[in-house]
Amino acid sequence: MSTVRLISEQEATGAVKAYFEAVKKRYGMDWVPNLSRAIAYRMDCNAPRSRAYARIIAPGALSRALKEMIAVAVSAVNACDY
Amino acid sequence: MAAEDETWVELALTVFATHSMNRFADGLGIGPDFRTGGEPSTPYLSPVVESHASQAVQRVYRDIKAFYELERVPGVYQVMARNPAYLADMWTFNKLVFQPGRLSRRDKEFIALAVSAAAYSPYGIDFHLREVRRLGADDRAIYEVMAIVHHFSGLTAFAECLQLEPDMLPRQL
Repeated sequence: MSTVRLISEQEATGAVKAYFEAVKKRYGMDWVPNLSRAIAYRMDCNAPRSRAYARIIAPGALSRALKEMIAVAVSAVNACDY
Repeated sequence: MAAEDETWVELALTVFATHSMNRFADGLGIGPDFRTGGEPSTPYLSPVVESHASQAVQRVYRDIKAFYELERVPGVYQVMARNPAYLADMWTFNKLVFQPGRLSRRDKEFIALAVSAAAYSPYGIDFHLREVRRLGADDRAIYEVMAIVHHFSGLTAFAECLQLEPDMLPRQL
């Protein structure tokens, strides 16, 4: 159980609602991940972070698939279940 | 096993091989093999130098040097050679893990570099940085690896701090 109440899609308005829609579109999902529902409390912080993320995860010298695998490996050594 | 599952197992084995070797090296104070400058370090356990190694250990050493195209055996293996049987088995394991399979040799080294940086392993960062460069990676590719490490180290800390629950069970991925 998370230590904060996560923002639901139903209550999202304005920039948060737009962010949730963008996340769903990016991942091809019909729901919003818990991390997005938590970080959306601070859209002023999340906007630049989200832009930076989109830049680094996009294919470049490394493929998108390899970058996702590297992300999983980093999460593993950081002992993060999420 | 499905092809996708085999890829994920290869990824996990790459994490296993990298993280375990890094812990062995850093835990025993084995200094970087390639980085120049700084204080030279003496490992807490003495290495088995090539000139004094048994024939069996020298065979493993030759194989290691050929695999990595090196003139000398990496320090971590020289200390591991204190137990020749353990060295032989773990080298066989590491060599198999890093051979091309579902993932290319270079992609595995990118993953190894990321694992080393995420766990802050001075030995591993030095070793795998040399390997990705030897295998043709340029500074742009290395930056991209480190940007993923940077961003996901932050995201995972954020998720752990708030104890966020995973969104999906693994088999749903």
